[in-house]
Amino acid sequence: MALNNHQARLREYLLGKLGEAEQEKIEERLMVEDGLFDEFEASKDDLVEEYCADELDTTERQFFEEHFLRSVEGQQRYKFVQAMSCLQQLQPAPIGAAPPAPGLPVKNPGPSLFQGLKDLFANQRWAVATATSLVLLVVVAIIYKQISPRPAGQTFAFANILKSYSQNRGTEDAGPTRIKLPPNIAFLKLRLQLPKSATSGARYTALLDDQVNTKPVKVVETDSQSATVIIPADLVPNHLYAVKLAIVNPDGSEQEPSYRFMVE
Amino acid sequence: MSKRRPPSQEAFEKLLAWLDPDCDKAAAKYERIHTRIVNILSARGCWMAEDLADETFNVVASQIDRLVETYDGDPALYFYGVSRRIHQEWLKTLRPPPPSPSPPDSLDKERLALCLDKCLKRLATPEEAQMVVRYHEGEGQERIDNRRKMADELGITLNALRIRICHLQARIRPCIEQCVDEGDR
Repeated sequence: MALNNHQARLREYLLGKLGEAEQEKIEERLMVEDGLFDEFEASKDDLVEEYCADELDTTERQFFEEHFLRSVEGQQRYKFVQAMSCLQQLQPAPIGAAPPAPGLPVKNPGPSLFQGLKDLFANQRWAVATATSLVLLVVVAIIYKQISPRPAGQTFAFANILKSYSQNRGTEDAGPTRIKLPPNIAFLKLRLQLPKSATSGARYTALLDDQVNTKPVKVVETDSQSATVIIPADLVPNHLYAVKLAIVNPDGSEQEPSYRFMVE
Repeated sequence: MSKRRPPSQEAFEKLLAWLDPDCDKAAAKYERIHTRIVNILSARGCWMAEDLADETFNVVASQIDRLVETYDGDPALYFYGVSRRIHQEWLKTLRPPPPSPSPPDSLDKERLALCLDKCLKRLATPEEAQMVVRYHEGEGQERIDNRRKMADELGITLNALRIRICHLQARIRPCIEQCVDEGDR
């Protein structure tokens, strides 16, 4: 984006390229001009993004690190861009490099968690409206891979968000969710939509069932609608599996929904 | 940096009245001035910007009777002047700075991404969340084109989109910080 005068000036200010008197002048204006202050805040976002993408030159980078990024505010913005770039970076770069799993609601070849998040937010209302009769299983598969070192530490790759339906609660079973895993995957992350009757304060444990053995898997996150488990990829070669979730509600009642998926 | 005593209730009320006779407007101005001082000091590399902004308000409150009588102009600029002096004092007593941020490792990144997901769901509407996620899609020219397309779709300029995203992200950032901290405990 071409920078207007204000933006260019604020950028110089944030990168330490202005003299003290000029800095003071800008700061005085920032105290009283709302529009300029908005620009200032947006410029910080831009610069943190550029810093993380290694787009600043050495001097700018050093100054930015030793000044704004040392502040609490700078660190918060840095973390935000890291979190977002984590999702963004893990999109498969070459279109068509990783074909989508058949029958899955994805828009692009090689869909990512990033894409999946977009879909999730776009479909959230629909999901809530239809959740009364079918329990939705949202599967988030995250692929970790090491990629060439960059300052922002790009170490992840993501797969996609898949949808399927759970069995085992008297609801219609739409069959196992199919998951296509690229060869360099390290972990599979599954977000399991909880039954409506799940209550807050429940405790969760999970078992991976490969139809011969069961192994405990880690429940890493829960909220009112879902529980998320992480499964090391080497535990799930191509085969049919189920994650059996044990839910113990605060009143002592228990539920055991099961979520089937097929790794291809 | 010398520590001033917090203002008395009376001084604090006078300070608010000096900012604006209307209580709600005064509180909003107080908040706005505080935020701007914090953000300016942060841009100058101050890692104790919140403390210094509080200190600024204590100093101004201690002078409030004189200011009400004699100061002519926008109070925000007076606060700014005091904050500059306090910042200069702070620079003289500077302790070693905290380290620059290091790239998060795999687990940190995973946690950050989970926290981002959680905070977007908690604090943004599905449309807003989708907009923030989409805004960061792609790299280089692809990203620029993507943002231009988004702005076109929304019928706003690219810069208006940038500012809108900036406001949304400002709402979400503290939640991510809190979520990550909770994970550390």
